[in-house]
Amino acid sequence: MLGKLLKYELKATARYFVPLLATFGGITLLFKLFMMMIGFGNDPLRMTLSIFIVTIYVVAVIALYLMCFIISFYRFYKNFYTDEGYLSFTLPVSINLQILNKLLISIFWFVISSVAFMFSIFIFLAGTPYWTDFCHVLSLSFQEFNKIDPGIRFLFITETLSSLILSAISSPLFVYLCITIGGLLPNHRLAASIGTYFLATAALSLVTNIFSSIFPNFMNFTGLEKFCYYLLPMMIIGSIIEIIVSFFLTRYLMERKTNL
Amino acid sequence: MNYILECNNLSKVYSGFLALDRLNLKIPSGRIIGLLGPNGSGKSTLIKLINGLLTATEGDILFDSQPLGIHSREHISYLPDRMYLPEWMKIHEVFTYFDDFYKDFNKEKALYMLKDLGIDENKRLKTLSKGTKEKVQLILVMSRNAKLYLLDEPIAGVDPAARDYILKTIISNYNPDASLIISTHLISDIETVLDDVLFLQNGKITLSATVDQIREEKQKSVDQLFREVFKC
Repeated sequence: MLGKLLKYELKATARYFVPLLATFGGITLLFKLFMMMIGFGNDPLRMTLSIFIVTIYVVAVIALYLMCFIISFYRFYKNFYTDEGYLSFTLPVSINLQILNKLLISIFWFVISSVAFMFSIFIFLAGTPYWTDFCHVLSLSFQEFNKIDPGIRFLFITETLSSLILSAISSPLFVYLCITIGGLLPNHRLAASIGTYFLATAALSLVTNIFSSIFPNFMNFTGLEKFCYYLLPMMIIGSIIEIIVSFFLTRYLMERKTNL
Repeated sequence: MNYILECNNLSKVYSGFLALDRLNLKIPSGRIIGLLGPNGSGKSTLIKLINGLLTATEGDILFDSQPLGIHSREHISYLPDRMYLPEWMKIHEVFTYFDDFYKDFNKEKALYMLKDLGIDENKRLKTLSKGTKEKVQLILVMSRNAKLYLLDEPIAGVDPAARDYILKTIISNYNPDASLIISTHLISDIETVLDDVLFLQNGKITLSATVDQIREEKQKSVDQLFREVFKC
């Protein structure tokens, strides 16, 4: 059943993501073309135009990720808490699979968008004087990184990757929980879901601040070691707690408290 | 007797309003039941509770002697009182969707009914008129070989000719071993197809009888009795 759910969710979300990614690709190529036409130099006009184009490009990248978030939010809301919920909730599929389906597709498009972003950076910089600077900075960073103790290096890579993967899982689940809480209301569910999201985010941030004030050492790291031993493990633990709480609470509310 | 559906002491309260009040109900297999009552009497609430779209405040529901869950969703074919299909889909895509998720869905039968109505399967749902969308939904629901059909206001909001078609579709396509519950307040249109009637008022069942009993004992049609009981 999960395969079938994934097939239809992929098809439904592709309607938004394919045009979105195509537009992003088009913007990248267009800006690249502008950069080539303007040319490179230190005169004020060229510098101004270059800064302008780079600024718009950065806005396009932010918009791409923002849209990933909005589409993920909207799909879950529309599928379960509008009239479409009458179909979703009556399918012979467990709530576990329904949540997992939405989560996997959300992560899939996040990964595809990230690949598109990296590819666009490559297109944007390739063949420009900035490309040499970019490669130089990368090479220097790599050399510096290689000087670090192999144990710490391994720990850093493992923890960073784990933290990224876990936060890619916890963020959509947290959004689903907020929509489910908003969906408990009989009316104005969308507004309630958005309100819940902002309130819950503020509450989480408050908890993090209280936690870091109790244990100031966690935030006052100076080297990579403290980063690896304190901050990243804390982020990983935080994400795991967020995943567990979000998933089980969402499932409980959808199974036991649904009121469409 | 083996009951396909049992509701025991079922209550539902919406923000202080008692929509269903300790309702008890037993539905055997092979019956066509009219769930009749004025607006706000609790008909849709009861149907939504059976489908798991609402959570009961009190009481429980058993389908096929089991609590509601995947088993009940596999065997209940539900027609809501609204358009609930993804509007961006084409008709043939929705048919494939039902075929993928419901083991009891008969796609050939659905396509035949669609052809009979002269509806193009390549059309997107959002391009169809309200009446055509309702017919497509009905075709989907009635093309399942379910154990229980729950039709919430299937003939409300359509013209009399479409009503005839819908009733004909319901009667000629439902699985005769199954039970069919039709919720409506347009009684004269469906009276001829009903075996039993349930009158629902203020969240309580005020009458449970066969259509023959009403005709013989009260010397009235169901429509006449309804108008008398629910007179404003």
